[in-house]
Amino acid sequence: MNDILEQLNRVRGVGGSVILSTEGLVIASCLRNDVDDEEISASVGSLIERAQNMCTRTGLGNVNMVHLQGDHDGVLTVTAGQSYLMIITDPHANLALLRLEARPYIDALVERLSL
Amino acid sequence: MDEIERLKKKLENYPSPSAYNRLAEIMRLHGKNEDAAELCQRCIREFPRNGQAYVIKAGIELSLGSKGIAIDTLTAGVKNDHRCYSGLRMLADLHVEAHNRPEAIRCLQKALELKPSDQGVERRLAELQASEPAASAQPTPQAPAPTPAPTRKQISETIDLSEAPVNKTTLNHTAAPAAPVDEPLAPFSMPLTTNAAPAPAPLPLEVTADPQTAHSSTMALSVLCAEEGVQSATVVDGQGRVIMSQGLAPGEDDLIAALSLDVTTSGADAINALGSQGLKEWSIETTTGKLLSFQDHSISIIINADSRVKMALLELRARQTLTLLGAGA
Repeated sequence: MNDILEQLNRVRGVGGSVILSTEGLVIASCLRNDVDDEEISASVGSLIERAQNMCTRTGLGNVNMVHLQGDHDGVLTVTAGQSYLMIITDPHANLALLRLEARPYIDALVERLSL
Repeated sequence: MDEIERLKKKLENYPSPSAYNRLAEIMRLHGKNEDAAELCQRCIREFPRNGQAYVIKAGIELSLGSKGIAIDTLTAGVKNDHRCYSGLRMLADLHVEAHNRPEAIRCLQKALELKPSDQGVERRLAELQASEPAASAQPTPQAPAPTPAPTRKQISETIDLSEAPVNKTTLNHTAAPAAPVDEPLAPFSMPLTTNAAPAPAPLPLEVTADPQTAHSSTMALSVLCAEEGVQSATVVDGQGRVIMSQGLAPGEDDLIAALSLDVTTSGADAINALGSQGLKEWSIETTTGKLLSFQDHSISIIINADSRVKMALLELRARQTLTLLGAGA
Protein backbone atom coordinates (compact mmCIF):
# COMPACT_ATOMS: atom_id res chain seq x y z
CA MET A 1 0.00 0.00 0.00
CA ASN A 2 2.91 2.33 0.74
CA ASP A 3 4.00 2.18 -2.90
CA ILE A 4 0.67 3.65 -4.00
CA LEU A 5 0.93 6.41 -1.38
CA GLU A 6 4.49 7.17 -2.50
CA GLN A 7 3.30 7.55 -6.08
CA LEU A 8 0.41 9.72 -4.93
CA ASN A 9 2.85 11.96 -3.05
CA ARG A 10 4.53 12.75 -6.36
CA VAL A 11 1.37 14.43 -7.65
CA ARG A 12 1.69 18.20 -7.70
CA GLY A 13 0.23 19.80 -4.57
CA VAL A 14 0.42 16.66 -2.40
CA GLY A 15 2.53 16.93 0.74
CA GLY A 16 1.85 13.50 2.23
CA SER A 17 -0.86 10.86 2.49
CA VAL A 18 -2.31 8.40 4.97
CA ILE A 19 -4.83 5.58 4.75
CA LEU A 20 -6.85 5.40 7.93
CA SER A 21 -9.74 3.37 9.23
CA THR A 22 -13.10 4.88 10.20
CA GLU A 23 -11.88 4.80 13.83
CA GLY A 24 -8.91 6.98 12.96
CA LEU A 25 -6.30 4.21 13.10
CA VAL A 26 -3.40 4.30 10.64
CA ILE A 27 -3.47 1.56 7.98
CA ALA A 28 -0.58 2.95 5.92
CA SER A 29 1.15 6.29 5.84
CA CYS A 30 3.67 8.20 3.82
CA LEU A 31 4.28 11.53 5.53
CA ARG A 32 7.20 13.87 5.98
CA ASN A 33 9.30 13.26 9.11
CA ASP A 34 8.01 16.11 11.25
CA VAL A 35 4.38 14.94 11.15
CA ASP A 36 3.11 12.33 13.60
CA ASP A 37 0.88 10.07 11.52
CA GLU A 38 -0.99 8.65 14.51
CA GLU A 39 -1.78 12.09 15.88
CA ILE A 40 -3.05 13.45 12.57
CA SER A 41 -5.02 10.24 11.88
CA ALA A 42 -6.70 10.40 15.28
CA SER A 43 -7.63 14.05 14.69
CA VAL A 44 -8.97 13.35 11.21
CA GLY A 45 -10.84 10.25 12.47
CA SER A 46 -12.54 12.40 15.08
CA LEU A 47 -13.28 15.05 12.45
CA ILE A 48 -14.89 12.50 10.12
CA GLU A 49 -17.03 11.14 12.93
CA ARG A 50 -18.28 14.61 13.80
CA ALA A 51 -18.78 15.55 10.17
CA GLN A 52 -20.82 12.38 9.65
CA ASN A 53 -22.84 13.16 12.77
CA MET A 54 -23.57 16.65 11.44
CA CYS A 55 -24.56 15.37 8.00
CA THR A 56 -26.81 12.67 9.45
CA ARG A 57 -28.55 15.13 11.77
CA THR A 58 -29.09 17.61 8.96
CA GLY A 59 -30.29 14.95 6.50
CA LEU A 60 -27.36 15.27 4.10
CA GLY A 61 -26.47 11.58 3.91
CA ASN A 62 -23.04 9.97 3.96
CA VAL A 63 -19.80 11.92 3.93
CA ASN A 64 -17.75 11.49 0.74
CA MET A 65 -15.13 14.15 1.24
CA VAL A 66 -13.91 16.53 3.94
CA HIS A 67 -11.54 19.37 3.19
CA LEU A 68 -9.79 21.59 5.71
CA GLN A 69 -7.78 24.66 4.80
CA GLY A 70 -5.39 26.20 7.27
CA ASP A 71 -3.14 29.22 6.90
CA HIS A 72 -0.52 27.05 5.22
CA ASP A 73 -1.39 23.41 4.71
CA GLY A 74 -4.70 21.80 3.99
CA VAL A 75 -6.12 18.33 4.53
CA LEU A 76 -8.28 16.57 1.98
CA THR A 77 -9.95 13.38 3.18
CA VAL A 78 -11.87 11.18 0.76
CA THR A 79 -13.58 7.84 1.18
CA ALA A 80 -11.66 4.84 -0.14
CA GLY A 81 -14.00 1.90 0.21
CA GLN A 82 -14.50 1.25 3.91
CA SER A 83 -11.50 3.42 4.79
CA TYR A 84 -10.40 7.00 4.23
CA LEU A 85 -7.53 8.45 2.28
CA MET A 86 -6.11 11.60 3.82
CA ILE A 87 -4.01 13.86 1.62
CA ILE A 88 -2.01 16.77 2.97
CA THR A 89 -2.17 19.60 0.45
CA ASP A 90 0.23 22.44 -0.22
CA PRO A 91 -1.01 26.03 0.18
CA HIS A 92 -1.19 26.58 -3.58
CA ALA A 93 -2.52 23.17 -4.57
CA ASN A 94 -5.12 23.08 -7.33
CA LEU A 95 -7.75 21.15 -5.42
CA ALA A 96 -9.98 20.37 -8.37
CA LEU A 97 -7.08 18.97 -10.37
CA LEU A 98 -5.68 17.17 -7.37
CA ARG A 99 -8.99 15.40 -6.79
CA LEU A 100 -9.05 14.28 -10.39
CA GLU A 101 -5.45 13.11 -10.31
CA ALA A 102 -5.95 11.27 -7.01
CA ARG A 103 -8.86 9.22 -8.38
CA PRO A 104 -6.81 6.38 -9.96
CA TYR A 105 -4.78 6.07 -6.76
CA ILE A 106 -7.97 5.85 -4.71
CA ASP A 107 -9.27 3.11 -7.01
CA ALA A 108 -5.97 1.22 -6.65
CA LEU A 109 -6.13 1.56 -2.87
CA VAL A 110 -9.75 0.37 -2.75
CA GLU A 111 -8.76 -2.65 -4.81
CA ARG A 112 -5.80 -3.39 -2.52
CA LEU A 113 -7.91 -2.91 0.63
CA SER A 114 -10.62 -5.26 -0.60
CA LEU A 115 -8.18 -8.12 -1.17
CA MET B 1 -8.48 49.76 -3.62
CA ASP B 2 -6.49 48.10 -6.42
CA GLU B 3 -9.59 46.12 -7.26
CA ILE B 4 -11.62 49.35 -7.50
CA GLU B 5 -9.12 50.85 -9.94
CA ARG B 6 -9.00 47.64 -11.95
CA LEU B 7 -12.78 47.49 -12.23
CA LYS B 8 -13.01 51.18 -13.12
CA LYS B 9 -10.62 50.59 -16.02
CA LYS B 10 -12.55 47.50 -17.02
CA LEU B 11 -15.77 49.49 -17.05
CA GLU B 12 -14.23 52.15 -19.25
CA ASN B 13 -13.18 49.57 -21.81
CA TYR B 14 -15.84 46.85 -21.49
CA PRO B 15 -18.85 48.04 -19.52
CA SER B 16 -20.88 45.06 -18.33
CA PRO B 17 -23.60 44.59 -15.70
CA SER B 18 -21.44 42.20 -13.64
CA ALA B 19 -18.53 44.67 -13.56
CA TYR B 20 -20.90 47.46 -12.50
CA ASN B 21 -22.38 45.27 -9.76
CA ARG B 22 -19.03 44.21 -8.42
CA LEU B 23 -17.57 47.72 -8.41
CA ALA B 24 -20.69 49.13 -6.74
CA GLU B 25 -20.58 46.44 -4.04
CA ILE B 26 -16.90 47.01 -3.35
CA MET B 27 -17.41 50.78 -3.19
CA ARG B 28 -20.26 50.29 -0.76
CA LEU B 29 -18.15 47.99 1.40
CA HIS B 30 -15.52 50.73 1.50
CA GLY B 31 -18.14 53.22 2.69
CA LYS B 32 -18.32 55.12 -0.62
CA ASN B 33 -22.10 55.09 -0.63
CA GLU B 34 -22.56 58.14 -2.85
CA ASP B 35 -20.18 56.85 -5.51
CA ALA B 36 -21.77 53.42 -5.36
CA ALA B 37 -25.29 54.85 -5.70
CA GLU B 38 -24.20 56.99 -8.65
CA LEU B 39 -22.62 53.95 -10.26
CA CYS B 40 -25.81 51.94 -9.77
CA GLN B 41 -27.80 54.75 -11.36
CA ARG B 42 -25.44 54.77 -14.34
CA CYS B 43 -25.73 51.00 -14.61
CA ILE B 44 -29.53 51.18 -14.47
CA ARG B 45 -29.48 53.72 -17.32
CA GLU B 46 -27.21 51.53 -19.44
CA PHE B 47 -28.58 48.13 -18.40
CA PRO B 48 -32.10 48.67 -17.10
CA ARG B 49 -32.68 44.92 -16.85
CA ASN B 50 -29.81 44.36 -14.44
CA GLY B 51 -31.79 43.68 -11.24
CA GLN B 52 -28.74 43.44 -9.00
CA ALA B 53 -27.96 47.15 -9.54
CA TYR B 54 -31.38 48.02 -8.12
CA VAL B 55 -30.74 45.72 -5.16
CA ILE B 56 -27.39 47.36 -4.36
CA LYS B 57 -28.90 50.83 -4.77
CA ALA B 58 -31.79 49.88 -2.49
CA GLY B 59 -29.29 48.61 0.08
CA ILE B 60 -27.55 51.99 0.05
CA GLU B 61 -30.86 53.80 0.39
CA LEU B 62 -31.78 51.59 3.32
CA SER B 63 -28.47 52.31 5.03
CA LEU B 64 -29.32 56.00 4.67
CA GLY B 65 -32.72 55.39 6.24
CA SER B 66 -34.81 55.93 3.10
CA LYS B 67 -36.97 52.85 3.29
CA GLY B 68 -39.70 54.24 1.03
CA ILE B 69 -37.23 55.10 -1.73
CA ALA B 70 -35.65 51.66 -1.37
CA ILE B 71 -39.04 50.03 -1.86
CA ASP B 72 -39.61 52.13 -5.00
CA THR B 73 -36.17 51.19 -6.33
CA LEU B 74 -36.72 47.50 -5.71
CA THR B 75 -40.21 47.62 -7.20
CA ALA B 76 -38.71 49.12 -10.36
CA GLY B 77 -35.95 46.49 -10.24
CA VAL B 78 -38.24 43.47 -10.09
CA LYS B 79 -40.44 45.03 -12.75
CA ASN B 80 -37.52 45.44 -15.17
CA ASP B 81 -35.71 42.24 -14.29
CA HIS B 82 -38.25 39.46 -13.90
CA ARG B 83 -35.60 37.06 -12.68
CA CYS B 84 -34.28 39.27 -9.89
CA TYR B 85 -34.63 36.76 -7.05
CA SER B 86 -32.63 38.69 -4.44
CA GLY B 87 -34.67 41.81 -5.24
CA LEU B 88 -37.92 39.96 -4.66
CA ARG B 89 -36.74 38.56 -1.35
CA MET B 90 -35.49 41.93 -0.15
CA LEU B 91 -38.67 43.63 -1.30
CA ALA B 92 -40.73 41.04 0.56
CA ASP B 93 -38.79 41.77 3.77
CA LEU B 94 -39.37 45.50 3.35
CA HIS B 95 -43.08 45.00 2.71
CA VAL B 96 -43.33 42.89 5.87
CA GLU B 97 -41.64 45.66 7.81
CA ALA B 98 -44.07 48.16 6.28
CA HIS B 99 -47.01 45.91 7.34
CA ASN B 100 -47.89 45.36 3.69
CA ARG B 101 -48.25 41.62 3.90
CA PRO B 102 -50.24 41.04 0.68
CA GLU B 103 -47.42 42.60 -1.34
CA ALA B 104 -44.84 40.63 0.64
CA ILE B 105 -46.74 37.43 -0.14
CA ARG B 106 -46.87 38.35 -3.82
CA CYS B 107 -43.10 38.94 -3.90
CA LEU B 108 -42.38 35.65 -2.15
CA GLN B 109 -44.70 33.80 -4.53
CA LYS B 110 -42.77 35.26 -7.47
CA ALA B 111 -39.46 34.35 -5.81
CA LEU B 112 -40.73 30.81 -5.35
CA GLU B 113 -41.60 30.63 -9.04
CA LEU B 114 -37.98 31.47 -9.83
CA LYS B 115 -36.56 29.00 -7.32
CA PRO B 116 -39.22 26.40 -6.48
CA SER B 117 -36.95 24.37 -4.20
CA ASP B 118 -36.22 27.25 -1.82
CA GLN B 119 -37.43 25.96 1.51
CA GLY B 120 -36.66 29.24 3.25
CA VAL B 121 -39.00 31.18 0.98
CA GLU B 122 -41.65 28.46 1.24
CA ARG B 123 -41.50 28.62 5.01
CA ARG B 124 -41.63 32.41 5.10
CA LEU B 125 -44.53 32.42 2.69
CA ALA B 126 -46.40 29.87 4.78
CA GLU B 127 -45.82 32.00 7.89
CA LEU B 128 -47.14 35.11 6.18
CA GLN B 129 -50.13 33.31 4.68
CA ALA B 130 -50.95 31.74 8.02
CA SER B 131 -50.88 35.13 9.70
CA GLU B 132 -53.13 36.64 7.04
CA PRO B 133 -55.21 33.92 5.39
CA ALA B 134 -58.01 36.17 4.21
CA ALA B 135 -55.68 38.60 2.47
CA SER B 136 -53.65 35.92 0.74
CA ALA B 137 -56.78 34.27 -0.63
CA GLN B 138 -57.96 37.49 -2.26
CA PRO B 139 -56.69 38.69 -5.62
CA THR B 140 -54.36 41.64 -5.23
CA PRO B 141 -55.60 45.12 -6.17
CA GLN B 142 -52.84 45.45 -8.78
CA ALA B 143 -54.05 42.42 -10.74
CA PRO B 144 -53.92 43.53 -14.36
CA ALA B 145 -56.91 43.27 -16.72
CA PRO B 146 -55.32 43.56 -20.13
CA THR B 147 -58.11 42.00 -22.21
CA PRO B 148 -61.01 44.28 -23.22
CA ALA B 149 -64.24 43.67 -21.39
CA PRO B 150 -66.66 41.49 -23.37
CA THR B 151 -70.01 42.87 -24.36
CA ARG B 152 -73.21 41.40 -22.98
CA LYS B 153 -74.06 40.21 -26.48
CA GLN B 154 -70.75 38.33 -26.72
CA ILE B 155 -71.33 36.69 -23.36
CA SER B 156 -74.87 35.63 -24.24
CA GLU B 157 -73.62 34.19 -27.56
CA THR B 158 -70.98 32.06 -25.84
CA ILE B 159 -73.38 30.56 -23.33
CA ASP B 160 -75.96 28.13 -24.61
CA LEU B 161 -78.78 28.29 -22.13
CA SER B 162 -81.15 26.12 -24.09
CA GLU B 163 -79.96 22.85 -22.50
CA ALA B 164 -78.70 24.21 -19.20
CA PRO B 165 -80.61 22.96 -16.16
CA VAL B 166 -82.56 25.64 -14.40
CA ASN B 167 -81.04 26.49 -11.08
CA LYS B 168 -83.11 28.70 -8.89
CA THR B 169 -80.17 29.65 -6.73
CA THR B 170 -78.22 30.80 -9.76
CA LEU B 171 -81.15 32.70 -11.13
CA ASN B 172 -81.57 34.53 -7.86
CA HIS B 173 -78.00 35.74 -8.05
CA THR B 174 -77.84 36.73 -11.68
CA ALA B 175 -80.35 39.53 -11.50
CA ALA B 176 -78.73 42.63 -12.96
CA PRO B 177 -80.05 45.93 -14.25
CA ALA B 178 -80.73 45.93 -17.94
CA ALA B 179 -78.09 47.52 -20.15
CA PRO B 180 -77.81 48.23 -23.84
CA VAL B 181 -76.82 45.04 -25.65
CA ASP B 182 -73.52 46.19 -27.24
CA GLU B 183 -72.27 48.42 -24.48
CA PRO B 184 -68.97 47.08 -23.07
CA LEU B 185 -69.02 46.15 -19.41
CA ALA B 186 -67.21 48.69 -17.26
CA PRO B 187 -64.10 47.22 -15.63
CA PHE B 188 -64.38 46.70 -11.92
CA SER B 189 -62.44 49.56 -10.42
CA MET B 190 -63.45 49.66 -6.76
CA PRO B 191 -60.61 48.89 -4.37
CA LEU B 192 -60.77 45.38 -2.99
CA THR B 193 -61.04 45.25 0.75
CA THR B 194 -60.58 42.39 3.17
CA ASN B 195 -61.91 41.68 6.60
CA ALA B 196 -58.53 40.51 7.79
CA ALA B 197 -57.50 41.27 11.33
CA PRO B 198 -54.86 43.96 11.85
CA ALA B 199 -51.43 42.70 10.90
CA PRO B 200 -49.38 41.47 13.84
CA ALA B 201 -45.92 42.83 14.54
CA PRO B 202 -43.37 42.15 11.78
CA LEU B 203 -41.26 39.03 12.06
CA PRO B 204 -38.13 39.72 14.10
CA LEU B 205 -34.98 40.48 12.19
CA GLU B 206 -31.71 38.98 13.30
CA VAL B 207 -30.11 40.86 16.15
CA THR B 208 -26.99 42.93 15.60
CA ALA B 209 -25.93 45.98 17.54
CA ASP B 210 -26.01 48.63 14.84
CA PRO B 211 -29.29 48.74 12.86
CA GLN B 212 -27.55 49.81 9.66
CA THR B 213 -25.00 47.03 9.95
CA ALA B 214 -27.81 44.63 10.75
CA HIS B 215 -29.65 45.53 7.60
CA SER B 216 -26.64 45.42 5.31
CA SER B 217 -25.44 42.13 6.79
CA THR B 218 -28.94 40.68 6.49
CA MET B 219 -28.93 41.80 2.89
CA ALA B 220 -25.49 40.28 2.32
CA LEU B 221 -26.79 37.02 3.77
CA SER B 222 -29.85 37.27 1.48
CA VAL B 223 -27.56 37.76 -1.52
CA LEU B 224 -25.54 34.75 -0.40
CA CYS B 225 -28.69 32.63 -0.01
CA ALA B 226 -29.87 33.78 -3.43
CA GLU B 227 -26.89 32.15 -5.14
CA GLU B 228 -27.83 29.08 -7.13
CA GLY B 229 -27.77 25.92 -5.06
CA VAL B 230 -27.62 27.59 -1.65
CA GLN B 231 -30.21 26.22 0.77
CA SER B 232 -29.35 28.03 3.98
CA ALA B 233 -26.66 30.06 5.71
CA THR B 234 -25.92 30.53 9.40
CA VAL B 235 -23.48 32.93 11.04
CA VAL B 236 -22.07 31.58 14.27
CA ASP B 237 -19.76 33.04 16.91
CA GLY B 238 -16.81 31.29 18.57
CA GLN B 239 -19.03 29.78 21.27
CA GLY B 240 -21.45 28.18 18.82
CA ARG B 241 -24.17 30.81 19.26
CA VAL B 242 -26.20 31.83 16.24
CA ILE B 243 -25.69 35.45 15.17
CA MET B 244 -28.03 35.29 12.21
CA SER B 245 -29.41 32.73 9.82
CA GLN B 246 -31.52 32.38 6.70
CA GLY B 247 -33.33 29.50 5.11
CA LEU B 248 -33.66 27.46 8.31
CA ALA B 249 -36.57 26.71 10.60
CA PRO B 250 -36.39 28.00 14.17
CA GLY B 251 -34.20 25.66 16.17
CA GLU B 252 -32.47 24.20 13.12
CA ASP B 253 -29.95 27.02 13.12
CA ASP B 254 -29.00 26.24 16.73
CA LEU B 255 -28.40 22.61 15.78
CA ILE B 256 -26.24 23.61 12.79
CA ALA B 257 -24.29 26.04 14.98
CA ALA B 258 -23.59 23.46 17.68
CA LEU B 259 -22.60 20.70 15.27
CA SER B 260 -20.47 22.98 13.12
CA LEU B 261 -18.52 24.18 16.16
CA ASP B 262 -17.79 20.52 16.86
CA VAL B 263 -16.44 20.05 13.33
CA THR B 264 -14.47 23.31 13.48
CA THR B 265 -12.79 22.26 16.74
CA SER B 266 -11.79 18.85 15.32
CA GLY B 267 -10.64 20.48 12.09
CA ALA B 268 -8.49 22.97 14.00
CA ASP B 269 -6.92 20.07 15.94
CA ALA B 270 -6.08 18.29 12.69
CA ILE B 271 -4.56 21.43 11.19
CA ASN B 272 -2.54 22.02 14.38
CA ALA B 273 -1.27 18.43 14.23
CA LEU B 274 0.27 19.35 10.87
CA GLY B 275 2.10 22.25 12.47
CA SER B 276 -0.08 24.74 10.61
CA GLN B 277 -2.00 27.45 12.40
CA GLY B 278 -5.56 28.70 12.07
CA LEU B 279 -8.35 26.88 10.28
CA LYS B 280 -9.62 29.18 7.52
CA GLU B 281 -12.35 27.04 6.04
CA TRP B 282 -13.75 23.55 5.87
CA SER B 283 -16.10 21.80 3.52
CA ILE B 284 -17.92 18.49 3.60
CA GLU B 285 -19.28 16.79 0.52
CA THR B 286 -21.99 14.21 0.93
CA THR B 287 -24.13 12.11 -1.35
CA THR B 288 -26.78 14.84 -1.55
CA GLY B 289 -25.06 18.16 -0.98
CA LYS B 290 -22.33 20.18 0.63
CA LEU B 291 -21.67 21.92 3.91
CA LEU B 292 -19.18 24.75 3.80
CA SER B 293 -17.77 26.88 6.57
CA PHE B 294 -15.63 29.98 6.28
CA GLN B 295 -13.91 31.40 9.36
CA ASP B 296 -12.79 34.92 10.08
CA HIS B 297 -11.41 35.36 13.57
CA SER B 298 -14.03 33.95 15.91
CA ILE B 299 -16.98 34.27 13.53
CA SER B 300 -17.82 31.62 10.99
CA ILE B 301 -20.47 31.25 8.36
CA ILE B 302 -21.92 27.83 7.59
CA ILE B 303 -23.59 27.24 4.25
CA ASN B 304 -25.75 24.31 3.29
CA ALA B 305 -25.76 23.93 -0.48
CA ASP B 306 -26.46 21.37 -3.14
CA SER B 307 -23.88 20.02 -5.54
CA ARG B 308 -24.50 22.68 -8.25
CA VAL B 309 -22.97 25.40 -6.10
CA LYS B 310 -20.05 27.48 -7.34
CA MET B 311 -17.54 27.31 -4.53
CA ALA B 312 -15.40 30.32 -5.43
CA LEU B 313 -18.37 32.67 -5.79
CA LEU B 314 -19.81 31.36 -2.57
CA GLU B 315 -16.58 32.02 -0.71
CA LEU B 316 -16.56 35.59 -2.04
CA ARG B 317 -20.13 36.16 -0.85
CA ALA B 318 -19.43 34.53 2.51
CA ARG B 319 -16.35 36.67 3.09
CA GLN B 320 -18.32 39.80 2.14
CA THR B 321 -20.94 38.89 4.74
CA LEU B 322 -18.28 38.30 7.36
CA THR B 323 -16.66 41.65 6.53
CA LEU B 324 -20.01 43.41 6.90
CA LEU B 325 -20.45 41.78 10.27
CA GLY B 326 -17.10 43.22 11.30
CA ALA B 327 -15.53 39.79 11.74
CA GLY B 328 -12.07 40.99 10.82
CA ALA B 329 -12.23 44.06 13.07
